[in-house]
Amino acid sequence: MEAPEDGEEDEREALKRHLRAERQKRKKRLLEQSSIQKSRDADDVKDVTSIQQYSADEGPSEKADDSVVLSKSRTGSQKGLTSRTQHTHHLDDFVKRRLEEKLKAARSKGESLQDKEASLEFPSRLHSLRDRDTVTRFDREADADRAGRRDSPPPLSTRVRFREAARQVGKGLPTAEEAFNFFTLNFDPDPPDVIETSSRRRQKQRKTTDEDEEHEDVDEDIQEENETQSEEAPLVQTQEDLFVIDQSPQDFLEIRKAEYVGYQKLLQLQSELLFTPSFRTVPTSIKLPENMKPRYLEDEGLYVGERPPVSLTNENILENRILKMEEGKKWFGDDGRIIALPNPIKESSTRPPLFHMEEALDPALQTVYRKAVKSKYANLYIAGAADPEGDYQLDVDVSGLIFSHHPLFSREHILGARLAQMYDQYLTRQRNNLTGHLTDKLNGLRNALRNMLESHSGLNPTQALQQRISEYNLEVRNTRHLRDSEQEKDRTLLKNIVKVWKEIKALREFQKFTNTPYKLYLRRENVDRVSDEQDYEDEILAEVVELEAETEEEYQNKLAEYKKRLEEWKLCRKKQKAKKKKQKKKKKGQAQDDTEGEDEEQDVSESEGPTDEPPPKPEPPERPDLGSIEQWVREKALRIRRKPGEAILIPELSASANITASELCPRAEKARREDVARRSLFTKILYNDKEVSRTDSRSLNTDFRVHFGQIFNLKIVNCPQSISLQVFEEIGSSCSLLAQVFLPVPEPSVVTGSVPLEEFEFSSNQRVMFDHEGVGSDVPLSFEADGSNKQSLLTSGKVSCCVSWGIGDDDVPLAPPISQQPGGVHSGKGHLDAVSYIGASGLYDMKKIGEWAKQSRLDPNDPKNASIMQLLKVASSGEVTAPEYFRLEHLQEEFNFVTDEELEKSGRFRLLKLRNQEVAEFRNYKFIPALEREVTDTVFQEYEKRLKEGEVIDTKEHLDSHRALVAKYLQKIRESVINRFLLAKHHYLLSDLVTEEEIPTIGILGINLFKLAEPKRPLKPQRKERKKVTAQNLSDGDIKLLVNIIRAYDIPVRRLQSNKPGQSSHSALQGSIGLPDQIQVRPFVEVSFQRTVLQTATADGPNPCWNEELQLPFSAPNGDYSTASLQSVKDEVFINIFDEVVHETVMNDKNRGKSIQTHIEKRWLGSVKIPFSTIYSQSKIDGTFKVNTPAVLLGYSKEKSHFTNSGFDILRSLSEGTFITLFITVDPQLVPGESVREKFDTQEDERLLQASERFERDAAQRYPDRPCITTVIDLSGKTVFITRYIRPLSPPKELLDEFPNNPLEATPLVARFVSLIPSLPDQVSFSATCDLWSTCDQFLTLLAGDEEEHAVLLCNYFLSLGKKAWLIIGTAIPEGPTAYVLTLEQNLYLIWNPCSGQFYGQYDTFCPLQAVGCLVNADNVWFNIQQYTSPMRVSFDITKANLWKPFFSRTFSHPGLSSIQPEELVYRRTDRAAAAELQDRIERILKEKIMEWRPRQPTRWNRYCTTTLKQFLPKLELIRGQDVAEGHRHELQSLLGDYRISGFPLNLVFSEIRPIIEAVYSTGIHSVQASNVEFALAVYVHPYPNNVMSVWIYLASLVLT
Amino acid sequence: MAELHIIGQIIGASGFPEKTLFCKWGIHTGEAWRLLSGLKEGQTQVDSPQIGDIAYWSHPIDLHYATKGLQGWPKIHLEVWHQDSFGRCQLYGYGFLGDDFDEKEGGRETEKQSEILLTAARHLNSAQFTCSCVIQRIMRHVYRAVNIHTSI
Repeated sequence: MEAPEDGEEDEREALKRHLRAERQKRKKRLLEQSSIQKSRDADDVKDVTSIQQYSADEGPSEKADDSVVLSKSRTGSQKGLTSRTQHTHHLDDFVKRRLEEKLKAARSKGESLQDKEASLEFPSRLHSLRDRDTVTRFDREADADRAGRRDSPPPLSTRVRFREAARQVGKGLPTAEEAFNFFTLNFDPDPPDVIETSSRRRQKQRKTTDEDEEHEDVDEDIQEENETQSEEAPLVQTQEDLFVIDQSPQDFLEIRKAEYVGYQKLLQLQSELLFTPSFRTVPTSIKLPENMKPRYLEDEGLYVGERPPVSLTNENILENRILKMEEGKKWFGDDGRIIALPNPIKESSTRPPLFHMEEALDPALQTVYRKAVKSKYANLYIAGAADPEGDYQLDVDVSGLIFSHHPLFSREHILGARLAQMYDQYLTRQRNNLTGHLTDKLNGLRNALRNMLESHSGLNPTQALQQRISEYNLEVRNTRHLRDSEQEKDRTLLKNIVKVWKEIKALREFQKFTNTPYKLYLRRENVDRVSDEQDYEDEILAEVVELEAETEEEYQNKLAEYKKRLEEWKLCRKKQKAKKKKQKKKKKGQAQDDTEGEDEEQDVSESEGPTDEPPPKPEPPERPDLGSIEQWVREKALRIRRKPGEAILIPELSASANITASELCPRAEKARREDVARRSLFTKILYNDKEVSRTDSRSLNTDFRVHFGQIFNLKIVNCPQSISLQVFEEIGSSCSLLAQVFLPVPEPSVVTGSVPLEEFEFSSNQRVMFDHEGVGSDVPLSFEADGSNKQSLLTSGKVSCCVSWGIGDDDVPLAPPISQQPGGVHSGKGHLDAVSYIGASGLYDMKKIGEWAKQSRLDPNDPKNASIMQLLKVASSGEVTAPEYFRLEHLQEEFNFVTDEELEKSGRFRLLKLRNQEVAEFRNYKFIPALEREVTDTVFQEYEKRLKEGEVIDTKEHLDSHRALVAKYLQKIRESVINRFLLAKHHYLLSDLVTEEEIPTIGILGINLFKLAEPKRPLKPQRKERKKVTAQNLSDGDIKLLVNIIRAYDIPVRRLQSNKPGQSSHSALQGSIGLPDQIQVRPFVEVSFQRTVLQTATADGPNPCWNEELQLPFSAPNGDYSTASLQSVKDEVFINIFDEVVHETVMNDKNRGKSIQTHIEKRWLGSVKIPFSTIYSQSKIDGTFKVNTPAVLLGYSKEKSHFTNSGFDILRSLSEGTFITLFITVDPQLVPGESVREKFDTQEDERLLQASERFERDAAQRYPDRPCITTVIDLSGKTVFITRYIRPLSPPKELLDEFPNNPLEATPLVARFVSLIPSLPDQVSFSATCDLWSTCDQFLTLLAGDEEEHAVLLCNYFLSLGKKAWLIIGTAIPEGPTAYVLTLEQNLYLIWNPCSGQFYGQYDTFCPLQAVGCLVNADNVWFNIQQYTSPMRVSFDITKANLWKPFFSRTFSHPGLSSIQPEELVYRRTDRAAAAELQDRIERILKEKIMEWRPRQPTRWNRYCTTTLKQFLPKLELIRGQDVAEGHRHELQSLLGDYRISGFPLNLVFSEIRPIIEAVYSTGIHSVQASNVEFALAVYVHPYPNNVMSVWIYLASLVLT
Repeated sequence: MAELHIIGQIIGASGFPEKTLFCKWGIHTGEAWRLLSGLKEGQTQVDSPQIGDIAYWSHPIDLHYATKGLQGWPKIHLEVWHQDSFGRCQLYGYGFLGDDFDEKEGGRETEKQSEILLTAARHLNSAQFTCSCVIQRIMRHVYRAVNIHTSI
């Protein structure tokens, strides 16, 4: 087909195409027919015998016919065959040929052939359809004529055949074949169709050919021509043969002989299909199971009810039928009858008997006829609601109830409600901002007026202009009045709010309790005083000018009127005078003519009417007093406006006040509150005055708000007439109706989800009175003191609810159509309504909106129109620019309501962001204010400062430049470590997220059951496993530190100060005389943690037992209880032992005689420090600790231990000391942070790593509680084998130089040097659980490290000193898993604590090392596989393989690992000058601090003592505080004979100033209360190589005696 | 300035040919929106339900946005993946929860559970998703803008 040439011809083309297609189809059909004919003709020629044979088959009667007829009839029969299945389609020649071939082949088979043919043609038809096209197309032109001619004969022949067949039927019985043909052949129904369609087609073709002439090919045309010819040909023929047309209907019909089945046969057939049960009685034996006798229950004496009567025949039929069924027997009872219930029909009638034959019926029983009444709403059914699918649904959302007055309101509630109401009003007024709007308008009008006057000042004002000016003037006046009244309202409202708030405050003060949570803040917004005053004055001036003009104008008007009236009056007077004269004349001539006179009189009387009372002489208007106008305006302004320069007050109402608890209230109030608590409310929902549902009953809250929050879906059938809510109040079981609220029926467009809640007011006029604080309802009450100004309040309130139409599943609103709404469509609001003006669809059209806005003269200043004006502005501006570019979010800029800068500036957002980013300053910042102005800039100051300063390091804070550098370095490492662990921290295991309770198994259950049966033993408490608490659900106050102080040993005792004058201390004197043992010492323990201080009771003696538990609250920094934060808590628990000393001073008073004053003084004896991080990671600490006692304790001496040791001097001196037994834990138990599970990169051999992993795993499997470490992580985050850390390194030369002869002597000094390096746990420094091992040079640079670093350094030093030394990996108290150093000296093993520099013998009971896990030296790692772990019971002989399992053995030899330690450590020289400077600084700071801690007393410093102490400190350092210098004490005593001295030196490791201050504070030396106390403070800093400092602080308090 | 809190959770998915599923999600906003706190994209754990057909994730979503304009309301996109026994992941479906996930309820807190159909490469499946959305504070002029938005 040709492509359509242009769009206009499209339709035509389509039509044509269609027609052509149709034509083609028809053509095809015709051609098919013709082709069949053609092929048949060919067959005719070829195969005469077959035809003859065929014709012979047809029937004997045709034999005699001539060949033409023969061929015709044959084709006809064939035609009939094909058209049997489909009238319009014909078989193609292919099928035909096949058929005929078969025919030939099966010639001998004779009659059975045709059956086959019929069955064959169905499947082959499908093929034929495909072939048909090609075949016909090429043949049709040649054969068109013939085909055309041939087309018509078949019907003729069929007819002939039909008639013949009929004839034959009439003659007698037909042959079987004939019968078959008769019944099965479909005699050709084509002819009428063909005629009809062909004629129609011809017309069409004519039309189309006319149309197509230009487009069609010539070839096509020819074809067309042929077509028409071919189609015309049969038409002509058939038209000639009219007979055919007449007969044609018969050809459709299939006429056959009626089939008759005999009645008997029918019955037989039916009986085969149907089942008719017999109605004979069934023998009982069949009905019962085999071999069972029928059992009659009646005979056995049981009651059997009467069966319902059933006729025997029916019963029999039923039984027979049932028996045929499967399991039919189950329907029969034991007696062989069908199981049946007793006859249900009652014997006697239950209806009351009616004896109304004669007498009248009892009126109660009389039947009353009532006319059927139509339901009120019967005709209001919504159409379509009848079927249950088309439901309409109303959603009634009852949200809540707020009482604005309730009988149970207290006075404060009334005021509160009033305040809230006024505040609401204030807010609405603020929102509408009418005053501002009116002021703007006023200014605008004034400007316009001024402009107008200015522009026309020179010209003579025209009439129109004058008119406009006066209009403007009027407008200005009206607006001003409005503005003034609005301003006045604002002002009075504000005043009232403040007044009511004052009343509330007064009331609260008076009644001494608070009932309402209201709290009013008045926020001041300061204004620029000068400009404000200027505005104020301008305003007044403008108003005065206007008023003057107005009054002037008024005056002029009045004057004009006056003049006018004066004129009138004068005229009147003249008239009157004239009349009087006239009358006089008339009276004279009255007698002359009566009739005339009467007329006259009438006239006169008429005209005289007004003249009877002559108009009063108008008063001239007073000249207005212009001076008073300003006065008046000023007064008014003062009344309605705030004074110039006065701050704008903005009230803010919040519900943040605390309501006084009921216990604290007086009885009446308590009664009221109880009454309130007893009440509950519910609402009923009434639809068309019928209750449809009700809300749950909710109790009344103290704030008189009830929240229902229920949505009711009402499926409705009736038209909604009314929807109402009834509010009920319930007290106990009784309930009463409070009020009824009517809700409007929503418009159909109001659907659920699109409507906000509305508030409906209700009130009730019930009178309620109470005898308690509740004010009641409709009861007069007064807030004035004198009882005046009474008012009575009615119960009232607001229901917030909304009614809307529901939405169906497919978002279809379930609302009835508008037309059915009884209310009808609301009329438009007038021509100014936008929707009615331009129609709803027009709302999208900006132009129309603009037009409308112009026409209706929208006030652009009116806030109501603001949205439209804005829209118009946006739209018009958008049109003007018409951007060329594409924007994804167009109108973005226009719809922004803040700029980027404003968004950036917002402090709140910034704070939120910083908190989210976990910036150190804002991490775990708790509450961020909701309002912008509440975020102060000070919050950011610190952060900004830090950002600004960045890298600059404040040396002042660190006291030491080196340490400052180290701190910076540490900070950098920390950051890198944190970054490295950040990823690892986010890897969660299943157990991190899911905590599953174990399901008890049978075994556990059994044990538990067994336990139940156990005898209870309350005296033998058993420790239970505590539940661990994850950190995230904790808050301040949840965590407590439990410190159980059990006992102490060897506390120093007081030394008798015998050389003192006797009267010095009464108690001491007494003690020395009387019982010396009792007053030795009275110790108590004070525990301080995070500035909370608790103390135990005081005990007696040097070995006291307290057994007391102290609970200290714990709060995490910034309230962050995450694991990372808890790990980095640096706080320490200080456990100080004090001696309680009681002084009694005798006061001699002349008047009253003697009185004794008792002073209790506490003296510090020693302390134990335990970092919180240790407690946290250990979760409990239990054991005996050595107390750090000062080297010298003035006034005290050690009680010599009574047992003598086995000759080792070292050991004996070691066990001397004070010890304390403690148990510390955190309650609830916290989950310690897990170590980082991350593989780190390494430079170690893979084989070695695998071996170490295996080694550690084996160790953990066999001895889970023994620590075993083979690989560690170094500072750069690489895994390193542990033995690489061990390498002999020489200690600083200075230390060795002290003992040039005996290097062994230097050992304690070296240990002391190591212990002086500050200790800082890794988790604190890196805020992540990781164990980083730094090498010795790194450690000495950082000057801070864990126990491991100390141990490694000490071990390396010992090795360089020629000792045999190992690293012990084990557990100790209080550190937990740690590292110690083991040395072998003179066949004795010594265990060194690297952090304290202390050493212990292997068999020392007080050795803090609790368990030994493995030993490490440069060559190997040995794991402890002995039975015990305690160092006392462990053999340290590592050569025994059955006791120590070596890592490197014969099978896996040491691969020669090189050390990662440097070859030699480089030390910096000691800097004495720096030390001296530091010393001064510390001293100054401490002095300041001590004075700061004593804010109420003067702090005097005893300089003399200080210098003495200062001299003493270096000596102490020299002897490392080892033994107490008795001489020193005596020296002091002699120097300061008159003073009672108590004091001690402290030796500290220097890291920062803060721990030093803490340590001084914890001794409590500042807390001496005596009035004449003096203090002495001496500081000495001893420098060691590499900036390691030992700080000595000597503290003493001196009391003059 | 207006702020928006998006609080909700991805409950789970059902109707996929396999049950071992996880979900990747993300929230897309227009230019005017600033994330104040919370994560705006993430991935759930793999849930392999032994009972029932729904793979439950119960994955919380908690975001806080500030905005200077109204366009580009947050949309959430979800991808449901399947992890087979060899640890290979395959995308099973994806979908968007668009504008209707913010309910302009005038400041009322709404909680709704919406089920979104995920478009999948091979199968049409569904994943359940809930979100509740609280419009916390929108100042006055925002309301105006909203009014225009709805009345046009």
